[in-house]
Amino acid sequence: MAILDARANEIVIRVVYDGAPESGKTTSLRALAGSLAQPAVTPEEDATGRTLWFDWMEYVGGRFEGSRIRCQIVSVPGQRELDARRRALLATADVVVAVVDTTADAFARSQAYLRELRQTVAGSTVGIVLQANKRDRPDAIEMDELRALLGAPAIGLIESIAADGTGIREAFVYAVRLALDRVRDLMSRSALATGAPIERSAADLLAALRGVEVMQNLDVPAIASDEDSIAAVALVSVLEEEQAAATRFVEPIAGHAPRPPDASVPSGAIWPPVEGRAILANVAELGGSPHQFGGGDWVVGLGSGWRVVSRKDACYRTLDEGRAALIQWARLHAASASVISPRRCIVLSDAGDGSWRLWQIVRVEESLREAMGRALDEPTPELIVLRLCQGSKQLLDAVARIATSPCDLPCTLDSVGISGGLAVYIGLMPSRVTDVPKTIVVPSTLLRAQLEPLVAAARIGERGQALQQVMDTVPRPIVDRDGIMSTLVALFA
Amino acid sequence: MPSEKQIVDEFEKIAADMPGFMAASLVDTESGMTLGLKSNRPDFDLAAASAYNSEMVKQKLKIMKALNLRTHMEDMLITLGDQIHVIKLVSPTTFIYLAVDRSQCNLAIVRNVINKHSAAFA
Repeated sequence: MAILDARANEIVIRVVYDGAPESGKTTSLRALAGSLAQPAVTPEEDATGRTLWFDWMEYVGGRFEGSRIRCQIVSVPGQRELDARRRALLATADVVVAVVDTTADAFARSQAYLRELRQTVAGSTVGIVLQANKRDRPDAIEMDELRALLGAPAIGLIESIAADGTGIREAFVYAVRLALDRVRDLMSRSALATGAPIERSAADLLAALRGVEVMQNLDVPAIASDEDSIAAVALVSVLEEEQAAATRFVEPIAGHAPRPPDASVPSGAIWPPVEGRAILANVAELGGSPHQFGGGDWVVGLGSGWRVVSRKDACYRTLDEGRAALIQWARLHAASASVISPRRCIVLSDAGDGSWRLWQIVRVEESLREAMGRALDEPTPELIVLRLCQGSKQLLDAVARIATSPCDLPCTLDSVGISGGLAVYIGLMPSRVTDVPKTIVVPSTLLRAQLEPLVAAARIGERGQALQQVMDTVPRPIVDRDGIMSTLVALFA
Repeated sequence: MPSEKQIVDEFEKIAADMPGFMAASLVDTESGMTLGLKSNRPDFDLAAASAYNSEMVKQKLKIMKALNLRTHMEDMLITLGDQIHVIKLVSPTTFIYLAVDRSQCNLAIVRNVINKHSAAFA
């Protein structure tokens, strides 16, 4: 995930601590945090204090090619049943510190994890530092024997006692060097990503992992460790089939218009469970028949102030299949609740032909385009400039806030509105999270692309000069941090 | 994750073991959605109760985080005038919400029965 953040003049790299359960990953990361005087964050732990998602800390230090080096340091959960989270985190690593419990009893398990790690990074430029941990234990394997057992001279080997911090800093420094070697290699191939990192904090990373997990339905039981056994192969096949079935869509009966959702939907088939019922009662009173649009989506109550929409493929054979999809979608909504308009719900409803259909009901809110369109009719140039600046700022605020959502919601003048004083997404929610990386938005480019058609349609004409004069009087360095004023000046020029 | 039928079957067993059983649901913490439920009281809106209780669980977890408490939450007990409500966290993403008639049961029985059955919901 190495990325050059030119705006902050930083190279952002990620160091991932990997290893078997209880090998000392979290202890290492916390010891490092103590040694670097940085806070460490663990989003959730289980009953025995084991990491469930990851441990996180950040450290900014040193320079590379003139840019500060920002290290995002994370450790994976080691439990087998959380293997998907481990793999997701390893996929973002620039370097891996493999923490190996070198006591005789635990070494075999650590070796299995190390083998998997090597397979994961094979063919990439991601380096591995091997941190031989628990060297203070009387049953620790001798170093010569350990080297022979590991049999891979290409990886760095550093002894440690995570419990008292011995060797932790050395392993980290070595890891950063390897990560910077990778950055250098990426730069030489013009393959280094640029822009602001999408995950800037533990909360961002947690949201990203949750978002992926929600949509991939990763609650799959642990697979037998012997992945080639007949039983394991059969189990994988059955689980994949079950997962596929949970989101498999059925072809609705041709020509059959689905029954729109009403107050009769069963308990557990609406989200949010309380406010959703009230919204559904309001919408059901409006009546109306479903209309099918070109893309195959069904829409009810056009012009009623509500958008009642069911995607073409949101059709399920049984209530159970529909409920599985509803719960996944509800989690996605809940994870995005702070950035989406509040007056909305999702409903699983009997389609009337034996199948079940997922609907989303969203209150039509005033968009920024409508608000800014009105702004251009203000009586004085000062008010027009003020309203346009406010609207632009709200759009950029929305971009920043919506970036924390697990899905890539479009930020345009049409899809953003104001609710409770905050800029929120007012459009329809996507039905799933895609693997496509989130769009990196350059504020001035977004503003220009969004405002240009609006200003052109408003036929500013002679008022353009008056607006220019007003903008010339505004102290640019104070208000133009996001390039709002310079964009407006360019638009009215 | 157990299926809805497995969840309901397990709640049947809890109801059989627990005098005064009123209602129970397995709840998805993040969304507040019920994953399975059983109720002996038609006037008890279990879907709404589950959703509100998920907010309570999330708030408590936030409080623990704010206080930097490096531990986990096992359960929450709420004693009403005539009912006992128990929230038992069974996995990182789900909890059981259980309501019992206080005149027919006591806290020890409630905890004993729920601990006996909670592994089936994980």
